[in-house]
Amino acid sequence: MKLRAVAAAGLLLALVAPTALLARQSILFNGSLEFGPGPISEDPHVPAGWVRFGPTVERSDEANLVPSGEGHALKAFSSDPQVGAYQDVPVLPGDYVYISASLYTRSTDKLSGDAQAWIILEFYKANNQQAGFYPVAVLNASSPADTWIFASVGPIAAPAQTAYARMTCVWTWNGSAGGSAYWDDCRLTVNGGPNELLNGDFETAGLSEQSPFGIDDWIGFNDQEQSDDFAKDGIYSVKLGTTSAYSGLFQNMTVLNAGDHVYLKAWAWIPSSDPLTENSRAGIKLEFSPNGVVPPPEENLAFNANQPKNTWVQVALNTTVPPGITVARVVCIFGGNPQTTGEVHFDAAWAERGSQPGVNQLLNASFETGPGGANGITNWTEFGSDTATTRKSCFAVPAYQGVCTAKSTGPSFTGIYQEVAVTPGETLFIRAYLYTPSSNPLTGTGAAGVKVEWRYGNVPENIDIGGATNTIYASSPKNTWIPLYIDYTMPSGSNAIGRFVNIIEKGLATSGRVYFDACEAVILNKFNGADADADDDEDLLDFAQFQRAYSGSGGPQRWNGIVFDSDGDNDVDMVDFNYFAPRMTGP
Amino acid sequence: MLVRLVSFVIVGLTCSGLALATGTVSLTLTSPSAGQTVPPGSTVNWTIQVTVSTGDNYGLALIACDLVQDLNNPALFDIPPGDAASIPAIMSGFNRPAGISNPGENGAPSGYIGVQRGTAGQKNLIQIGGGQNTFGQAGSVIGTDPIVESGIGQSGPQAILSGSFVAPSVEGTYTFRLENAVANVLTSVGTPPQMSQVSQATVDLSGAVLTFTVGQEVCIGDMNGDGTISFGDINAFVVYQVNFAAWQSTYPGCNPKNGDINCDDVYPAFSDINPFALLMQQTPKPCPNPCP
Repeated sequence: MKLRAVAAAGLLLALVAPTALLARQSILFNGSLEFGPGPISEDPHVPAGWVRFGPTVERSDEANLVPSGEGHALKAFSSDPQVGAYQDVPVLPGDYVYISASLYTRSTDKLSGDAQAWIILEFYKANNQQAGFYPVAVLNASSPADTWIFASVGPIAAPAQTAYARMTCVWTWNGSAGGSAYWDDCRLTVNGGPNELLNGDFETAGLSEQSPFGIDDWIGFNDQEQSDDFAKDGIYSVKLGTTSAYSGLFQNMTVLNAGDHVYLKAWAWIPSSDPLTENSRAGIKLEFSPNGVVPPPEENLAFNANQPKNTWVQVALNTTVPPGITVARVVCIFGGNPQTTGEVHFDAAWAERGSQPGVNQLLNASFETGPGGANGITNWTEFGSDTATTRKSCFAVPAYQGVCTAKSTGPSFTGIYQEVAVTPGETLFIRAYLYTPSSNPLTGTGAAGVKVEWRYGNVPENIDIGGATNTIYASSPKNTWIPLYIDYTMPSGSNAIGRFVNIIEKGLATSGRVYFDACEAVILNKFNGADADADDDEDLLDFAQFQRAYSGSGGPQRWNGIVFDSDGDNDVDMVDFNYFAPRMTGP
Repeated sequence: MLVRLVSFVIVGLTCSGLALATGTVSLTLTSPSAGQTVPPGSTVNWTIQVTVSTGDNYGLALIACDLVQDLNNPALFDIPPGDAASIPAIMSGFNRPAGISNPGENGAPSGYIGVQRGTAGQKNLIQIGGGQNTFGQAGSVIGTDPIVESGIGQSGPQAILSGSFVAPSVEGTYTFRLENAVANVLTSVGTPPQMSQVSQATVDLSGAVLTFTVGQEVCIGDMNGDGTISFGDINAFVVYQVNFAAWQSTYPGCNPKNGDINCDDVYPAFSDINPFALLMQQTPKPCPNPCP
């Protein structure tokens, strides 16, 4: 059976392998996933010694109180109503407890809305019943940015029956908020003694059960870990699970240019003991990101519950296209939240380039064309969720132009966007008319308006899972290694950083696992020879890999063999060696 | 060649087809100067040796390592390539043309002896070593010897390469180490045209550090720096004890440690006077006279 599986896999590869091209450069490191400290390893985003609550709290090097520590602080930002971290210290009744910290918010991500950052001293009895609660709100939207602000509580005598004191750093909000806060130099002293907190300066990283940094050269997200359950090459693979909507492992590779012929390959294993179920799927992706830093988006969310009802209100944005940007994504956006009800209509959208005055760059600008329903407005792309949508609406309200509008509603962000070509340095004027009907008016703290997101126009679309060669499903074979591949050539004019992603999409499944191993990514038409370690030479270290990948004529091809398979016949043999040998450049 | 062929056939008969776990390759960087004080301008010889674990592989298939100087060394220089004549005969299968190594530079036929890379004036020696042709067929340009030598490094430390450089003129402690080492070991040995299997080995570099000091040699009791211990050192010892600065200016090439007669690392100190008197009873005495 094993021989048959191997033969079948070999036949499949023979059918799908790229055509012969002589020059190859590998651009993926640790593709066999062998190297790394494993699942329970240090995570630089986890502060050792602290208990975190909420999803958006982490150890961060974005701010630091000098001279405390070397460069880290605790960061919390918008998500749940309360996010933060705490630490407990044993105390006795009557002990005088004092806490202090310095807090900070950055001008580039300043606290806004009703966000607040606190330090809290609490006392607890041995049965974990609270015996005292002393909060101090230190930062809010009015606090100065880029300034460390000291705050303290106490000394306060521990109440009767107190067993331990707790210092908590917490970020709170009650509806509409943004920005982040930082804590550093946290102290808790008892009766004027030394600081009893561990890692009060957040300089020590902690461990995480599924560290995103457990496999060298890769970054994991959500339910993933290095595993020795199964391996295609070596003894380790990466195990992905379904505790989150998406889980996986990715590696940013190199800059890919127009004409680069990229071949990505990995092997996937579905265990029969915990197979993929429902509509879950997994596979490999090729993602692209700009070869540069994308400027932050700009927006004007001026339309809120205070606007007049049954009246079209213009919301506009005037800006200049940043350097290097060649695509602007024009967005009609509705920022709902759980406290928001009602609907907002968009109409007569307009995007005018400074180089073409008086010309609207948007197509179907009054939303008249399209079948309606999900993503049903021609030339526009909808975003949102199952409950927050932006859909075509005709005759429901008197349109500003024509008879149709784009109607947004829901408890979270939604909207539609369209991309237009722009030139760096020119002005860009964006506007839309917004309307909320008295029959279902916008209420609460939600807001709407227009937004522009910048894109480097030379970044190709991602190659997502779902393709015939790079995806496995619940119906795919179990307990066998399944080859997956992406064969892609960078389009004319493109320039972007490539990212190799192993991913599982949960869908409706509540269980299921997938293992990935023996990943390879090779540029098939770059470099005169075989550069296996992407350092633009062919030397003894490349030969060390060649020697391990050598299969002999007829294969089967081993992991890391693609880069050496100069004649594209799915093996690494003497033909490939005699091609490799005279091209050794040395380091 | 006959012995080699016979041993190969025996190994091939006994081992072919087995798949063994990856082994461990230990590299050492040794030198007669290790831990010593050497005078400026003297020659420092070095040797790289490899030891391969047994029972989990059939010996070394490829070795590559860099010889680098610590950036904190008192002076930096271009490390010259190793001595091609030092390559043992048994390692010839790792060196081009029989084996596979980097191309040579500056007239050298092979890069097995390392190639210089880095900033001019502080270049290190990169990718020393090479690999055997394990493919069962002869290469057309390099790797011309398809007969695999098994067991290399498994019967004791195997020299890979030796070399030397001139100790810098700047005094102080110097450290050199092997880095970026990669090793493959044989996991099966095939008879040509059958190939041999290899696997990446774990590399142990804990013994791959060389440290020595450049400076005046310590000669306990030689207070005037004339290379002998004699009554001529008495006056200098007196100056050493009562006016150390004057002694240093009078005998600039003389190691102050020479006055630490009782070797307690405290000097100048009156506690050395009696031991010095005893030492004078044993004169004349030639240098070196290190601490016991």
